[in-house]
Amino acid sequence: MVNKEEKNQLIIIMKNILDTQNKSNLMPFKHLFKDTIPIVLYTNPDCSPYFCDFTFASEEIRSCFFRIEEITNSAVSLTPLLPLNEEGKYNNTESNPCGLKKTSVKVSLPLHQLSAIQCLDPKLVNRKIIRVDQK
Amino acid sequence: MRTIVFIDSNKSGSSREAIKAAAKLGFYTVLFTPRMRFIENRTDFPDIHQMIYIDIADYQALKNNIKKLGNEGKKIEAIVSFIDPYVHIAAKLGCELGISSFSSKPYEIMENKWLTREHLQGLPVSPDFKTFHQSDSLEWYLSHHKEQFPLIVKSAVSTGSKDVLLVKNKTQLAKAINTLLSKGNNEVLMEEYLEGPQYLIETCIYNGELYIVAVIQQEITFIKRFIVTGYCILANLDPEFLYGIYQTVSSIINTFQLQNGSCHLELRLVNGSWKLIEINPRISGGAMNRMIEIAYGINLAEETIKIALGKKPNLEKKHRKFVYTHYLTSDETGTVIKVTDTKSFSTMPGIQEVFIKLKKGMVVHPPLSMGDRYGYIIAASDSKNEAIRLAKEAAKEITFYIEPI
Repeated sequence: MVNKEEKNQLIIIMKNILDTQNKSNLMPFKHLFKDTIPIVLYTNPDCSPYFCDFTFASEEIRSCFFRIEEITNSAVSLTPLLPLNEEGKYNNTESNPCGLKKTSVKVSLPLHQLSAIQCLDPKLVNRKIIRVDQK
Repeated sequence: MRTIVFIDSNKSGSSREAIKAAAKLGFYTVLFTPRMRFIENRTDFPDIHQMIYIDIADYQALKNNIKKLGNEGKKIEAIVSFIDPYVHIAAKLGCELGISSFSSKPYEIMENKWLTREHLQGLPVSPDFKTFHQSDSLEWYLSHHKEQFPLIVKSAVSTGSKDVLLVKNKTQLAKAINTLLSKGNNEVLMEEYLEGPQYLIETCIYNGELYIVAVIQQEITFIKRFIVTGYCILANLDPEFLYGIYQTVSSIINTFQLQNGSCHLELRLVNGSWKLIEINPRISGGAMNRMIEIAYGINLAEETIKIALGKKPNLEKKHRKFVYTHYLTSDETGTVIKVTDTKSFSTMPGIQEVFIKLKKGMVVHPPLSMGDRYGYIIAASDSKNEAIRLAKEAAKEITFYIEPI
């Protein structure tokens, strides 16, 4: 379990992430910051990654990758990100996606359940992957 | 301790296999290398007993280190290199120590395309060529020489198709000469462009006798540069065809008065006449040693070491198979994200070996030299066409996933 101070730190970090994402829409920061900083959230009591199951484009999806949308006093609002393999298709494994894609789904997670956060490379979002076949 | 010193090596391919062969023969192997990444990844080289980081251009430092090895009780029996342009340096060091059966002068000429052309000038096998020297006036040269285009413009010293340019007019010629001069070349060679099938000939010379070890047909792709993307060892050759090759190679080797060693030549058959594209004083790099081993059961790198030790090589063909190697390239530029897993390829019929040097994060691009080939597939069969088909079919299963830069 995380203590109150650690919890406050976690909230500060999430607010910083949200702030950076929001700045990406402002002219001076447009090319400096990315619109989405993908994250993985870890929850109490065993610090396991938080997974969200949802339906997207008629497909059953399970993802532990999110975009922070809003932070209130008690909860964080998230958009699950679709993990993709190198072919740009849904990757149903929980580790090392080749890319991530924003979904239209929204979920909310109570802050008291959180124990840790991990940021991922923003380049993963809407990553362009070229397939080079041998002729 | 019986020791063989190697002057540089690549991480894989023929030069590394030579070190493995020396270790297998029971020698203590010492590698002199200017490549710091080899020292940093020392555990990747268990066949190399001692690795010395050194500037190979510093001849005195090489001599000092060899002397030091001797003082440590190592009995140096050979100093060899399978890497351009160090073959003649290894031979020179060996001669000075009185342990080499290789002479450095022919190797020094072979390692320089300009010196080679000058040396072979007048032989029917030698294509027409001209030389542009750094001190020449390009304007004067272009206005006073009527060239027959297309031409091949190349650096005298580079290897692996680096700086070999095809030019079709005066503007391209001027640009090519300037490009090569700006890279520090003192001489630029201009050769007639020859059309016809190209063959690579692997040879050994022992006590002045020439042995044709393998004849390999090359598949050349032109994408900005000439890149060999396929090699096929011809298991059965028409005796007349082979005799023609032998006579041609023999006429070239004789001019160098080479008594011992191994070389490979690239010959092109132009309207029934053999023309020398290039000669190099060593076995071809990359997959060649493995290919010859699969085709004939001969480890040519090992046999070359035997020659360096003054022993007769065993070049008896244990079997005959057509072997085709298909090289993998990229026609796009980007950072590698993933490459197809090839673990299961060994179960494919005829597939002998798959090698991919790409790792996640590496940058790939369309080939500008042979070094820009990112792997290969070797297939073997009793038929030439089948070996080619098997390798190419397997290659189609391989995909590079890259992110544009």
